[in-house]
Amino acid sequence: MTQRLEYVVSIMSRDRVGIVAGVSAAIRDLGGNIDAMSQTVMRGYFTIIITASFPEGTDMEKARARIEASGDPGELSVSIKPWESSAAEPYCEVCDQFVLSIMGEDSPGIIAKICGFLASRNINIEDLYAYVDDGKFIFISQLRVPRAKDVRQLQIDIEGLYKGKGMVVHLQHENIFLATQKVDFRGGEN
Amino acid sequence: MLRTEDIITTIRMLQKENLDVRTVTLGLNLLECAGPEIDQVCEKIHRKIVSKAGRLASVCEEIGAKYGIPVVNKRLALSPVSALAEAHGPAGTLKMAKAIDDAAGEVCVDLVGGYSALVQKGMTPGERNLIESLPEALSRTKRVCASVNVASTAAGINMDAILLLGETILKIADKTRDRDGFGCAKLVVFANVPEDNPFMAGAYLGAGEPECVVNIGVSGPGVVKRALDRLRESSPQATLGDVAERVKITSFRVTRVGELIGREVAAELGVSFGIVDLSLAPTPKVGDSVGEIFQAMGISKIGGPGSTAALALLNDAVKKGGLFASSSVGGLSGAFIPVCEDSTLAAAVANGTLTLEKLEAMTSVCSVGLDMIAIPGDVDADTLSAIIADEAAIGVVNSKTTALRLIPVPGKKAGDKAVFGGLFGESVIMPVRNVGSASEFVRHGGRIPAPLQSLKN
Repeated sequence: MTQRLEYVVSIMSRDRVGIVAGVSAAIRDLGGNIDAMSQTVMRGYFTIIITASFPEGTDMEKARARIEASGDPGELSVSIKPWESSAAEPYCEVCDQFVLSIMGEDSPGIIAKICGFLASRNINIEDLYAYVDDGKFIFISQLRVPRAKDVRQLQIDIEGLYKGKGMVVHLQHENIFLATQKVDFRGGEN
Repeated sequence: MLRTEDIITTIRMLQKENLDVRTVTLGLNLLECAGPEIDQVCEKIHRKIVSKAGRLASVCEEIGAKYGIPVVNKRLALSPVSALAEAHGPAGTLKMAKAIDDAAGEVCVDLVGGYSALVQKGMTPGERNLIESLPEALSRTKRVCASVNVASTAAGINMDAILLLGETILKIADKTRDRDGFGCAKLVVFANVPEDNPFMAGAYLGAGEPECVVNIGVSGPGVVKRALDRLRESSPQATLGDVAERVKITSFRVTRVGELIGREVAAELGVSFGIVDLSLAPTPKVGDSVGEIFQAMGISKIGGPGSTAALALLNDAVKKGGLFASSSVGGLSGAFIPVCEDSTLAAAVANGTLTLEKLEAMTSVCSVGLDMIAIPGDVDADTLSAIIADEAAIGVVNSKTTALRLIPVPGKKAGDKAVFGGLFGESVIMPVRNVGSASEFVRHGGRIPAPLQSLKN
């Protein structure tokens, strides 16, 4: 039986109907099998990340070119890397998921400041969405915070980053969102 | 992963629409403190409150911060103090009230309920001691709240107790005349009192409850009001069925917040989690009003035709949303209409659209009763008793809780203003019509028998 190797494929393009159809057909034709994919469109631009396995010996540069050719010339930016199994290991053994939200007047450097702070505290961003609506900046991210961290101190430190700048900053445990949004949530049992 | 829209919905409820945990109320059984020596009883009460509730405030702060939701009040609900008063006169009972007040201050709770008696079928000496001590207890303590259950569907209505309370309420008002009779705001007269209600002033730890239990009161009239505003903006043709559905969904979310906080606080304190009570409990703050929900439903004059139907819809939808959200719903769970505590209801009283008679009708379909209503100080005790009896009858016949917080304001008349401050608010004093016309009736005393439970029509 032919051994299969796993790769990560990422694609960026201006959005249109049929990109995923073309890309998935190209992967099928290359003998690949898609294991997972996540796609989003932001302000008219499309991105997708795919993990897929291909038969051993597949020329991945040719595979990249084949996937790229599923779009019009110059349309898709495609990159492929071998998937490293260690990437799926948990970032920390005992973590809690928190939601960090920042809202206020837009100005350059807001994201750099908070993300620099989080990196300095070894806190990983697992999901991030930010946009400007009518001059108002909205940043929502989902973080994995090691349980050993003093959350109250973390909240104070993050609020301190924007003190006096009219920004509303909140770091909240994800259970408050799950409780209010998920019908089958059962948390905090004692 | 959570959806961004869901995150924004929750953040909006918490930060812009005044959703908070109104109270984390720790129920505490005091029966083990009973004894023949009053000073020892007081010492035991003090020790028990401090040992069991010492960490309550700090744990609430910590868990509130974790979820980004304020826990506005931390409170205690004690087992009925009347049970400890059997061997002591009103003076001894008053000593207990002071011991409770001091201990509550020490553990940083703002109010403590359970200075209570259950007299729906008759009165023990301890219960009489407690009722007779109320004027002193409520005027000389800061945090103690009292309640007396005078009626139940199973027992009927104890008119002797109601007569005694009519007189007692006037005495409490007189003792606190410098504060517009504020002491009466800390006494609730109940029919069918719930045993696990976390809201003040009527919270106490019922007979079937655990030794120590966390009950949660969540509010959120602002959240419901904004949800209805958004419905009206997005669907101008929305039916009242759509309105009920929107209230139900919103109530679901609010209840979930309460349960999450309650279970975590209970686990941290190592005690049982009891119930979550979602009641739309207004505060005088604009945007935190049940009256504004009426307006959002299209009732332009609160107290005018349609008000009772609107309140029935609201109360029912709140209960349904709460019951789907949690299997541990209890307390009152519905809509409150405390006049002084709701700036929009108080305004409706001031402009004459909301009257005592209409409020009484509305209480037949909502959670509580004639709540936080300032009336003229010269209303006589018999008339007060008759109003209590009317409200109790609504509760007893309809198998629901009703309650009264009537505040006769000494030296003031209808149209004057009573000001209590803080969460207790203010209101124009409401006229009471036909004063003195029911003395003969209430002075019969005795007990109005329990009502029939069949032929319900």
